[in-house]
Amino acid sequence: VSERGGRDRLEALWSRWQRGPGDDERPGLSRAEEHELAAALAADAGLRAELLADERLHGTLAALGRIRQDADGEAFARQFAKRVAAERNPEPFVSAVDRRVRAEEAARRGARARVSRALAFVLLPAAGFALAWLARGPQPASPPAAVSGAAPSPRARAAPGPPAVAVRAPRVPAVAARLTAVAGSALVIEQARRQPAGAGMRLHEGAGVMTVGPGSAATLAFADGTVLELEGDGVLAQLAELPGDGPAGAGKAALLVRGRLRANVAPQPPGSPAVITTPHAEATVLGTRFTLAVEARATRLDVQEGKLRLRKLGGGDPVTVGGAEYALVGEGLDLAPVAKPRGTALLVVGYSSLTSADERVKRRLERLGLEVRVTLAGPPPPDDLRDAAVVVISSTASADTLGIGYRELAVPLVLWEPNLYDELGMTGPERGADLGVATGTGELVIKDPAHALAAGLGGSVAAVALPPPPAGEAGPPRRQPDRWMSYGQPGAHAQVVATWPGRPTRAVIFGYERGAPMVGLPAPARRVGLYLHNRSPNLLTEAGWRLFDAAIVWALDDARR
Amino acid sequence: MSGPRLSPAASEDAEGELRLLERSRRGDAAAFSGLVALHQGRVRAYIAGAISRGDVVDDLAQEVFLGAFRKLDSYKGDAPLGVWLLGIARHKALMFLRGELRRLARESAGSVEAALAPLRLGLLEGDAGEIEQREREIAALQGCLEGLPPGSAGMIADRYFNARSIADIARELGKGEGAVRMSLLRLRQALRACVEARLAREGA
Repeated sequence: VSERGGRDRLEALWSRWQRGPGDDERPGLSRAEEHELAAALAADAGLRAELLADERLHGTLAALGRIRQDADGEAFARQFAKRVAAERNPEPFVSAVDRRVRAEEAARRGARARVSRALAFVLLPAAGFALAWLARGPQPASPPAAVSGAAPSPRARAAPGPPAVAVRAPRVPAVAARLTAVAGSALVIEQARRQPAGAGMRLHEGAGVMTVGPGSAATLAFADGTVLELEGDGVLAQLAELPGDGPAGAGKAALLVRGRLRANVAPQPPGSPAVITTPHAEATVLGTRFTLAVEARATRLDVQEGKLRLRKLGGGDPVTVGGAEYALVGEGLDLAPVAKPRGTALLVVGYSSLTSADERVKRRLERLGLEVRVTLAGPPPPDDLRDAAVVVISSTASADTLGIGYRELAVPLVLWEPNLYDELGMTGPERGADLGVATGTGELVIKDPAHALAAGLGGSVAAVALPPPPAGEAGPPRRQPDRWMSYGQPGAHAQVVATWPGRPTRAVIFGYERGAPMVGLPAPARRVGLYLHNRSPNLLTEAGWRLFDAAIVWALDDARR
Repeated sequence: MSGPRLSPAASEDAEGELRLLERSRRGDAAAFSGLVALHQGRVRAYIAGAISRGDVVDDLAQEVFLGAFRKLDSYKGDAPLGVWLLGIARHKALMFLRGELRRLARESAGSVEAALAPLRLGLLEGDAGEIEQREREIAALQGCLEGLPPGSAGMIADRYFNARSIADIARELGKGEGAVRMSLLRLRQALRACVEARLAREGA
């Protein structure tokens, strides 16, 4: 009876310990009970195997439940497609942008471009018919028969109207630039073939360069002294000479598909600017130094010297971005030049491909005028820390891989990974009491409206706009990861600015002033704990973002002192 | 109780998969998304067998498909695509569990998680040649779910497929939460026995 009773008790403890679908916290096992269960597991290999098999089935059933709700995998596949888009698979993108650029170019140049094309045809003996057609104006006529050496199809013969673009004569591509330096791994892409890049190689019109890996770079030099340097995981494609409007000839064009491009553009002929297109924008330059960086959902332009005209693809007025300014172009961003960064923010995340929530955080930091460097969880990278004004740690950065290097870092920290609070000395160690994650309503209660971290808000604030429960679901909303919020119970010297509704000991916005005693050490610099969790940045209200901004600004104020 | 479809099994799906694969190899991301839709179920279920945290499972599954898309050139077709994907899934899960093991040793020595972590890792490390076996287990589980009596099927569906809380289920059934938890534990034990029996029959 005793053995059976002991087994029943362990199973009961186990069933209470397990988390299920939608659970956000361990169901209540006291510490003593957990130790009892852990000790039994440590002592009994059979029990371990049995309970592990149960956990495996439990996890599989939970996954089947999620899969069942997305029976065709559409939601999962959509999420995947978004992440792939962020990866910027270059080839389909290049052709899509190329088509768009050509169409826009044609529209802008209008009649003059058609005349230029006609003059080109004059030089082609086989294009005599086109010349005749242009001289006569847009009247019905047969297209030239001998441009490609093939007889026109009956359909083409019958089709009236202007000649198609395809009648342009083939020509040997001109040399657009030369590779002057290559570091790390780089490839030249020309006529759909890839070959290792090397210094001295010529890049013809239409060619491109790909650099692979963080330490890789390729430097391209043009005859007029213009230098482009592609860095990191980058693709620069479709190098071309643009037909010039001015007498001095051609400008330049290229597509920056992804990566960072440092440019030092020599003065271009009047009317023939250099045009660099990215997935989000078109930068037009007559001569200047700048850096273009294409990221998952936006392009960032930093101007070191001179001025550029930047236009969002798909419409909108261009803006001029000058020295000591930068601009961001992307979906949902207002295109406007911004004064130079207030410093560098190191954003620590858990996945190399940013989640949509981390991407929003990054963009917000940039809107605050910060240059953002993203790093994966792990020991703090010394190079990135050297000039970091603030370190921002997302909850996607698992505490297990973050290391202990941030504990004594004399740089302000803003974080919403509660599992780090104790390691950093911001709270005690007990999960569920000193720190934790729980299902929230999206509301916070501001306790100290006068504090800078309160962003001028007071009372009850809806910081996260939670989605409504599924149609037909009655009663309290289900527990969902979207609703998770982080909290901590900081020490007496913390400044608690907002708390969990109805739980005044759960601080959801709190900070430590530099030097203030924390748990086990004085704060090496300002520390801020925020209520966010993995997905909540996707759902922040305006007030939620104000509170976020206030946390960053308060942390930065420490760095500037 | 019919379970969700986890993998493309019918021959027409296999042909469709081949077409999608060919297009994906030419860089067609939309085609690869089609493959994702076909295989996401089995990949998520496989990872969930090793890692019980739902949020981690889906994130890792996304990473699996991103990794596969990046190195599709290395897939030679020696094994079915699903098995290749599960190999990547196993690698991702191993990386995660190794990190967990280090974290738990540092932060939570003496906890239940810390006691189980080496076993979870060991189970997966020893699973290298067992991916197809895992597939068979999941297929058998779906068969067993369909064979559950209505009351048991309802409880499993409420808890796992409708994500209802233990408290909700207990209220509806007029039972204590502990009793519901234990009932679910017993149901899982019965399902495991059923899966083992099915696999043994298949083996015979």
